[in-house]
Amino acid sequence: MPILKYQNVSKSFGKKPILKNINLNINSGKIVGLLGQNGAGKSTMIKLATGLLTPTFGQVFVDNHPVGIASKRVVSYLPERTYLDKSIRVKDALKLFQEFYDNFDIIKAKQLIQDLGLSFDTRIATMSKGMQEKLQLILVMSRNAKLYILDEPLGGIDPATRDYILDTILSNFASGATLLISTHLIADIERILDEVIFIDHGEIILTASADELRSEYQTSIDEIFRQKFHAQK
Amino acid sequence: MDFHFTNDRPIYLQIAEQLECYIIAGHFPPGEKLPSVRDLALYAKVNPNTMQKALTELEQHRIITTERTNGKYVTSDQNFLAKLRDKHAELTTKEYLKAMSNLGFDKKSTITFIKMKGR
Amino acid sequence: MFTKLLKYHLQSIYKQAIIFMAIVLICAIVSRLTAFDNPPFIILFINKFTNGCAFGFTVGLIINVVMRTWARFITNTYGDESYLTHTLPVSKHTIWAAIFIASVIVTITSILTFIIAILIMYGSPDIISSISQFFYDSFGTNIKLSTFITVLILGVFLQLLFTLQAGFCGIIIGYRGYNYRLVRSVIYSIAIYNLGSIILFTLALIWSCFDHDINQLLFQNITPEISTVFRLLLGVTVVYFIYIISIYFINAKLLSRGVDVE
Repeated sequence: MPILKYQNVSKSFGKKPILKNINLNINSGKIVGLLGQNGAGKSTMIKLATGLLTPTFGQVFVDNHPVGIASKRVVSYLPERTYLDKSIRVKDALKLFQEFYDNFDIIKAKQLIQDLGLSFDTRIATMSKGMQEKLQLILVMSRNAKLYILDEPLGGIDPATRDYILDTILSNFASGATLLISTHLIADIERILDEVIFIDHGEIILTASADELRSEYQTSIDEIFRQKFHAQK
Repeated sequence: MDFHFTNDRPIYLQIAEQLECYIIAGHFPPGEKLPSVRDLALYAKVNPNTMQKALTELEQHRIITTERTNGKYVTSDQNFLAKLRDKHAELTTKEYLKAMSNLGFDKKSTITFIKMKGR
Repeated sequence: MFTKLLKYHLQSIYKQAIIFMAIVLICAIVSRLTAFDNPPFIILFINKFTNGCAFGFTVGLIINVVMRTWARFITNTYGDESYLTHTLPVSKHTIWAAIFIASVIVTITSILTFIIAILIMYGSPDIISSISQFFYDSFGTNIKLSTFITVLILGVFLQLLFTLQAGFCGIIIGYRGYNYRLVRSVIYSIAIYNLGSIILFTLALIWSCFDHDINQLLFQNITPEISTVFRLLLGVTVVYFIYIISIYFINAKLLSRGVDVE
């Protein structure tokens, strides 16, 4: 039973097609990379799974539910942007998550925040962008979800933060859960991926196990990706 | 105990190789219970699934065994481990000798060099 | 879930509104305290000034509340914060109901603030009885003053709510597109508001064909009967009420079709 399923999904913005007839199953328990260049359709695919967009055609299912209230309970989503009200404090954000999600582990979240050296009274607006992103990551990973979706978690950050983020992701997802990570920075993330999905111009080019690809092509996923897209140009 | 790997080879194989070395070197003594897959994965900073594949690989080579619900153990077959260690040592020595010969050392002068360095 | 969303909306809107409300009431109190007979000039000045401010800041309060509610609706449903709103395990209807009820509550408190301010400034037995006297002398005793005022306040309240609803509906329709969403929203909102006025006027026209008194009131230059005025007022109130309820369900339906967040 796939945890995430796209069934004949197409999405256009007005006349502009973004996704073309996507059919995809993602099985549970894996860390999956959704890899593609900027503008390939990664964020669109993710927003369809989280309910921020509705398909022009087709349907998306999460944990066998069509995207809706039941699916949102079990999906923990980290978007690219900061969505927290910047005028509130860290402790308010914690309270918000605790109030709205019954699978939020506030003890774990508080621990992770303290490990970062953040005070609960800090106002989010006064935090650096890197800190804001770490905070959002902590909030998202502190939920006991079945599917974690991280949209470009490594964009525009320094290597130390990147390592922190990868470590936090690996050490904090509930066992048996699935992680879907979208990024164009393949080299930074490929070491933690079980499976990879290549997407280009709104179409799925390839889905495979990461290590099998490495065996077959005798090189890194990043290199395989470059080759595939160089060839297509 | 550090794990290093590159992205251009299957990661589970690299982990299996490195774990094998650590076992041979005695970091995990024969018969010792290994940490859980999840803990090992955290330590190596890899995906638990990848760590699981690596352990399965080691199991196929009989370097570790699974004890039903009790977890994974290093094999208690010390002979087997000693032989494995010799095999690795032989490979490493061959490579070393080849590298030294590329520098112009023959076998005799290599041994002299080592004895000198050993003091 | 609904109450939690409502709570957060109210917290956000009242942050500013509370300042306006406080100013209005303080001005009303000061104005009342400085209402002497034959006051020295400075006291008279303060009295008149705070009196004016009470009215001025009430207008400010209402504008602030309406604008903030609309702005909150947009950022919460279509802006950055919507990334949180739409991934919560709640139905679109609950999301909509929370902002709507929040707008009702803040409208009520704004009007209440104004009424309290009026009572503070003018509420004395003398003034009340002289107003009553004037009312009954001018218009007869068919309608009680208190009933008339109640319906008047209700009318203002519903008119405000209708304005809010027109805005909400315009926003929802405007944001269904992909370009110029805000501009479209403004245009649609104004259109809906005017459509409401046109329909209201048309209904009044139709009514005047059946009811001679209403016809007289609207189109002839004869001094109106208070009970006729009252009936017209009641009619307008009912129409606004129907508008508000209808648009509520239209908005709920439109939102349930799904949103597209950029």
